Amino acid sequence: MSLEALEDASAVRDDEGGKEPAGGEAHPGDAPAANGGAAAGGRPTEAGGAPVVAPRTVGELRNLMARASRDGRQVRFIGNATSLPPGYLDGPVDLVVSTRALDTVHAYDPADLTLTADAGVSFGQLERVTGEQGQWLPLDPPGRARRSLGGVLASGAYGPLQGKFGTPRDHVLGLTLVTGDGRVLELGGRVVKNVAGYDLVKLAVGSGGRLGIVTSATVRLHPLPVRDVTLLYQTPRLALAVVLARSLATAPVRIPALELLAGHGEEPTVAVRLLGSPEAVAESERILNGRVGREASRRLEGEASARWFAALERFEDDAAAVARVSHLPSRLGDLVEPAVECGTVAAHVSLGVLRVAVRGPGASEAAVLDALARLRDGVASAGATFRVSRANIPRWPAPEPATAPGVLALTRGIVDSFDPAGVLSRPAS
Amino acid sequence: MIAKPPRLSTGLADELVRIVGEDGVITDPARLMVYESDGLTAYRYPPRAVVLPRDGDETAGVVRAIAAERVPFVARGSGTGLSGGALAVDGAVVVCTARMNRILELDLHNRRARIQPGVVNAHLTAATQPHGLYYAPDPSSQSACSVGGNVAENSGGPHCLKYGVTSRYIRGLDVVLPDGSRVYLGDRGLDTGELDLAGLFVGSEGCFGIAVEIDVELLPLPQATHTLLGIFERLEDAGRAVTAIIADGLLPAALEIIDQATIRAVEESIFAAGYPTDAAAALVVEFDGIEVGLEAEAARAEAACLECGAREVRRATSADARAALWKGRKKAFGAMGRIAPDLLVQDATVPRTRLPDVLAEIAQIGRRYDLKVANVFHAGDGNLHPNILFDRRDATEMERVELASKEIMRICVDAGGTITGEHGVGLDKRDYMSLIHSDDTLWAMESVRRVFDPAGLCNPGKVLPDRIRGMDPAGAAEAGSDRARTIVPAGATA
Ligand SMILES: Cc1cc2nc3c(=O)[nH]c(=O)nc-3n(C[C@H](O)[C@H](O)[C@H](O)COP(=O)(O)OP(=O)(O)OC[C@H]3O[C@@H](n4cnc5c(N)ncnc54)[C@H](O)[C@@H]3O)c2cc1C
Ligand SMILES: Cc1cc2nc3c(=O)[nH]c(=O)nc-3n(C[C@H](O)[C@H](O)[C@H](O)COP(=O)(O)OP(=O)(O)OC[C@H]3O[C@@H](n4cnc5c(N)ncnc54)[C@H](O)[C@@H]3O)c2cc1C
Repeated sequence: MSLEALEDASAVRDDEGGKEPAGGEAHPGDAPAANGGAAAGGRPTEAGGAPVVAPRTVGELRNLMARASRDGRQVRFIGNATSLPPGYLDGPVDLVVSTRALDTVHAYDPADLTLTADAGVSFGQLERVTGEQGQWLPLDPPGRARRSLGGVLASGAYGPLQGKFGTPRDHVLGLTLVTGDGRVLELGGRVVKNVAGYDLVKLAVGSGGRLGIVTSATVRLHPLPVRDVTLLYQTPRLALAVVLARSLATAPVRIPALELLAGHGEEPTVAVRLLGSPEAVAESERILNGRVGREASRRLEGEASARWFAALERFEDDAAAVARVSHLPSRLGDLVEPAVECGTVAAHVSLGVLRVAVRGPGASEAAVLDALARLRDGVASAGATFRVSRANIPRWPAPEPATAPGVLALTRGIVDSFDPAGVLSRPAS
Repeated sequence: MIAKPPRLSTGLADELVRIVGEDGVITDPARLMVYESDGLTAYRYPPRAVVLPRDGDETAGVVRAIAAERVPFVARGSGTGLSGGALAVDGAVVVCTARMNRILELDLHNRRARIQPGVVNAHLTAATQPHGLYYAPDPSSQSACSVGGNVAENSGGPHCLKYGVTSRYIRGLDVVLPDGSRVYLGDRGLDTGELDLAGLFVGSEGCFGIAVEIDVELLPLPQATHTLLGIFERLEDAGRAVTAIIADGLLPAALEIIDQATIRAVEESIFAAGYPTDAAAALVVEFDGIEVGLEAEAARAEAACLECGAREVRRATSADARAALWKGRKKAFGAMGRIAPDLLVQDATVPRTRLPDVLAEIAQIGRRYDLKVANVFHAGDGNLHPNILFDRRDATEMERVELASKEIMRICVDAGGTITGEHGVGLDKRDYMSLIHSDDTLWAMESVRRVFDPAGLCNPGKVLPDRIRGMDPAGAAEAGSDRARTIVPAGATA
């Protein structure tokens, strides 16, 4: 790597982690980026053999990407670093760009329920800022508090609350993207409804750093709910838990979060989170209990309810590998059985997505691979799609089914137009 | 002024008839007139022909045949679009989805439906309602517009304040690409590691191909609905009430404002809804969900309205009484159509808190250009519809309409807003795109468009300014370098 490109990125930091998974160093609620810029000017360090830089301005980033593109240098992006796709930093990488030094909340208009912040701002920080105004960003991806806004948007990560609030694509009004060849694109806007041109925001959200780096974003906020209640229904038999979960999913009530947990060392558990006015939450509870003909095994309210779901955000933390199975919600029963054979299961019941965590730390590489392969074969027959989203092993089973040729061709064309020199990650799908 | 389109070659005409049948191809100029314009009535572009395929296979065959002769084409649903998106620029062939109007599958267990694109929005809800479900996005044109058109425009509606716009409800799209090949864009990029191509296609205004099957998500019907109608002496007060309701932490299903000019138009028409004609504005507030919570929410909203100066707040819970409160809002466009020969339905979004100032400025612009401007809009989203009433036969008035429109767009952009909230850019607003997007961003849009349609045959002349459409990639490739970043139109020499 020529240091020429680094000269522009004056905020080279010397405190980046190595290739250690972030799981170990838990800073729940902590904002690693809050002191961003303090270590500016240090020497670049190595990450998987490549120097890590943390530019402080969009201008620095633009120059850096333009040069990398011209010189054909391989660049990878990281946010606060918890959920890099498997193998993301493998192979020849010349430079790792971190958004840590982009850590400012630029505009917050509580009356408009919108906020514009840099990509490096952590969710913990956002929670504090918005909480003071009785508002929140109802997005609860795995490992939320430590993650950066840019990382979550770029990876499209979401959690149980998608049941009511949607996934990152539904929260973002606009963002700034520095493309692979150093163009600065202001996409979308700051208003809640906007159809002025093709929706490149949707393209950038979930693109995993393939098109460019997200440097800031405007998101839509919501008022904090007055009442927050979690109902936990436990049954000794998995099949019964599935019936119960499906029955709740088809109740005539919109449930903000509906999860099924199994293989987690307790009885299979169906968790329901209700948010809203005290009256509406009480009535929903009555309707749901009536529908399944029983009371919840446990009922948590307020802080306790939020804490239970915050704990679920750490579901993936100590896993040796995590696979995601996407299926028709009504097929839950066919999929959860083979999944439990392979690991701990957390299902977004209404959406039709199962997360399967293969637990370590003792799990050997062979055991992890074996569990993932069994899972893939087990779910393929039920018409589900399978993908490994995280693994501490060098090789993992390919996604199933493979990407359709037509989709692949469109994807390649789009990626080429944002990164013509091919300096960003290109997953081999 | 209306240019005659070139004729269809006999070879292509025969091929189209072979694919869709005699009754699926229209070439008779008299019958083509219906397809000359859409909801944006000021423009007229006669198509070369209209083809009406019955399913995805026929559509693919039609597009292949048209593309083979390098003839441009444009998809059309119900033609209610308000930005000229379905107009047959360049003598395009119109591929109309009117015969693709079947609901293919209703999957109640998974709350999904698979439909053809020509299904009318309201028909989808009507078909799912008996099962306790409905399709949430509800453009005011829902009794006529097609879901395919909604997908292309990423349409909104009064209830999108709480429920979100079309893109929230599209699970997947079976698309015929502009070369006639077929691809399924699915699952919003969730858990597949793929780019969200379905999300990108939604709102692409018919430029990326033709959606031939659509997988939509349905919602359970709300248990109950409460509606309020606040009557205000000042338009700004109604705007402040909207902010106050949101600031109170309430999330109504709908927050809609109708101004005095609109109220009078409605009350003077056969749609008279009983709104007081001396009022400056009426605000419709609706809550839906679990019955027991609604009463308390409605009471809070009523208090907020009164605090902001409402002289009266009416409330209703029964279906009939609610319909009466909504009537002035729902019949607004129909009524306006009766008091002026022509109506330009404008569309822009501003941050909600800027509504009062922006409305005042719009009123001023109307006075300055001596034009009648009537506002009826989705206030909760800050989505304005300043509608200009005029007579197209009066050339000087036409000119004033254009100047006023431009100024309105400018003030909305200056207030931190955008040039269209839900009607799209189409033909109408291409030249406003540079008000909000840099050339780099416009070029990024054009580059993506070219990935879908390298031959440039699919809905030409829409969304992007010609300057950008004609851009030379070599010129644009300079953009990444350190050199001065000027984008060179094709043919220009440096
Ligand atoms: C060199 C290095 C290697 C690491 N390796 C691992 C590892 O293998 N596994 C692990 O769990 N933790 C790893 N970490 C820990 C890491 O510090 C973070 O905790 C974690 O990545 C934070 O996640 P995030 O949510 O902020 O997004 P990230 O995980 O940083 O990013 C997720 C995805 O989004 C992309 N991305 C992130 N920010 C942006 C942006 N602003 N614009 C565009 N794309 C963006 C990334 O390229 C990646 O594809 C590593 C850290 C470093 C410094
Ligand atoms: C009285 C009135 C009220 C309205 N209210 C609202 C409102 O509240 N909210 C709102 O958002 N809009 C509203 N509209 C605008 C309009 O109804 C919407 O834009 C609607 O989605 C257009 O649907 P359509 O079937 O009429 O499409 P058309 O007008 O036929 O076409 C619109 C665009 O969609 C493309 N298209 C159509 N079908 C397909 C397909 N299958 N695949 C790809 N592209 C396709 C066309 O090429 C064109 O670019 C209103 C219009 C009127 C006249």
